[in-house]
Amino acid sequence: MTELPIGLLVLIVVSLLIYFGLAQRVLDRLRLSDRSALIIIGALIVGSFITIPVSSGNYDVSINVGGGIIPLVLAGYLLVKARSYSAFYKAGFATIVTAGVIYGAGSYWGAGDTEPGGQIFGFLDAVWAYPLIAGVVAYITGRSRRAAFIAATLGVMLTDVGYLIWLVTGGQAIGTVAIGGGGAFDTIVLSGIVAVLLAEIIGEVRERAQKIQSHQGQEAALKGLKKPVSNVDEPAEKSSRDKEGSPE
Amino acid sequence: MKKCRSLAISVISLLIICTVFFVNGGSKPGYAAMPNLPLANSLQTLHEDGRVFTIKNKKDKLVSKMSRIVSVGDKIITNKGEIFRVDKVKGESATAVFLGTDGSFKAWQENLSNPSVPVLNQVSKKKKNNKVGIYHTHSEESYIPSDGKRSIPGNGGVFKVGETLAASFKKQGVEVIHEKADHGPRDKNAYNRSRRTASALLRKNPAAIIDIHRDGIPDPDYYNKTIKGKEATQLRLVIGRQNPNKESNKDFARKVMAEVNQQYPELIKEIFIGKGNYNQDLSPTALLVEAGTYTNERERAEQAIRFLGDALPGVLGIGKAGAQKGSYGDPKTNTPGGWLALLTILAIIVIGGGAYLVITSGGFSAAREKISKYSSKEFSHIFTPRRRK
Repeated sequence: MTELPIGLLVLIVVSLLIYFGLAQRVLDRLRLSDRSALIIIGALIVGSFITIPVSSGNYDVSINVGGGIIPLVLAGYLLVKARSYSAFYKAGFATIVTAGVIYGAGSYWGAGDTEPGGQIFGFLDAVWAYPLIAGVVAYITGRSRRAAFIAATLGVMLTDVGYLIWLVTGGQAIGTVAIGGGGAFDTIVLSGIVAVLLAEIIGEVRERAQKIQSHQGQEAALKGLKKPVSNVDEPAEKSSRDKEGSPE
Repeated sequence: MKKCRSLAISVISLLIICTVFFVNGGSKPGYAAMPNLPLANSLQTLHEDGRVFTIKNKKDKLVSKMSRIVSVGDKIITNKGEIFRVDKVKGESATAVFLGTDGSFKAWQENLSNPSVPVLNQVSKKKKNNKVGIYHTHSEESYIPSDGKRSIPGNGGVFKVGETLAASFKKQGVEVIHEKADHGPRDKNAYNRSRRTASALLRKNPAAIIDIHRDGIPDPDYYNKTIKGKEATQLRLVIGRQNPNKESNKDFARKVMAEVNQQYPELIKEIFIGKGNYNQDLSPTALLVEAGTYTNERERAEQAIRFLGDALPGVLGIGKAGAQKGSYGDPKTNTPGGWLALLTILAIIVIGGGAYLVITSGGFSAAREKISKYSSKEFSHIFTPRRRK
């Protein structure tokens, strides 16, 4: 959009800066170096303009580099770099649950509702519902930001694969499956970003609540401590000082 | 961990193999779809036509009706500039309160009707982005009297309405990219699928993208209208309110309604601002147009969309109309909605980021301390004189 009123141009530029700023923050939270984060963001932007056709015919299938391949490679890298078997399996499990919930919420629940109805999407649009589902599922299963990113990106991608399976198994004679076709703004990328931020917020709130709880518990335990009973008679001066209260 | 890696690689490989397997199956010439499996049938849940949500004002007068779930907080801007907000919903009946007259819409209208305002002054002869993108999220939507069915998967009657709009734009000297990608079925994931089409269109730098639909109410007379002696249907513009760009999209819709209705009175029935996003977060000039309903003759809907195609280039400042003063082709055109959308986004970031900082720091004072430490560390070198080597 090169020729628009100034107000709209500023809106577009600032929105882009905020979006990619958040993406950089997310990559930082995934423990990637600044240089890697910049390379990935650059690849997301440039890759958005490259779409690889996989098939044309009854089913027009394609995958976008920025919206499909880069998030797939990044999620794969994070999976491979999982610190333990448990983290690996939890991320894998969260991915399958996320894909199932998204597909179910979009295609199965709320049958017959008029637009924009449904159990989840009637309340919140798919663009926001996808990452929220992924973020919550990943946090419940793995309590990890990396798991949130993997579950969100691969979960949404699996939904596309599910749609392709539905088409081919007789759902419809023709169809289009453009995996990550939205480029940097595709729901795959958007879900990854929002899911990590959500996991971060939930994690921080939970940690803070736990700290407050443990602090209160420590205080209660300190209050409940009884003064050690001594059989030896203490000097009169020291016992009077104890009554006043020691700073320790 | 080696086992872990090999497992990850095998999962991803399996995913790719599965995709390629299904894809190749579908690409064979003359391919016949596999027999319907229980999976395909059980997961096919479409948005149904025929259900009508009625919105009335406090005096029991009809404000609008549509085959679309109406929620508390939804708004309607009528073609007279009246704003109604839905404040009660019971089943399929809703009550709306009158909020007053839309000042921005009235201002657009007055600008157009006042000849002393130099709306016809050309800013530049040619616009670089002399294109408009057209697509259809609900690609199967059709019109029973003309198409025989309400829904034709992969080739709905709305495609023909889109073709008519494209022809009308071309007549006005506007380049058109009409994307006929199939996004079926008409389920709740359809907008996610059409997001890819909308994004692909936006990468070609159009002045606006238009998603053409039709409504699902059974009463054709609600939309039938004779405009400038021709039988047509009325149109509805829909704006999603779960969208950070909402105010700028609303601004654009207001201008479209004011200018199009000035040339073709009452062509646009109203602007409905409801739940959803409709991929309008992607562009401030994204429009969702409902052309009549499934019981209207498609030819009437085509006539209506022809009128729209005739008037819209003037709003966008493209084609033969050129970038006129006051159009979206003029950088100086005032778009308060754009600034409001920008403020909304910044407010979300400041409030959200602030709340996060307070939570992670453990209180307001700790957060303040963190900010001051950060700023003194990060920006200290800006104010200190540079050391000479």
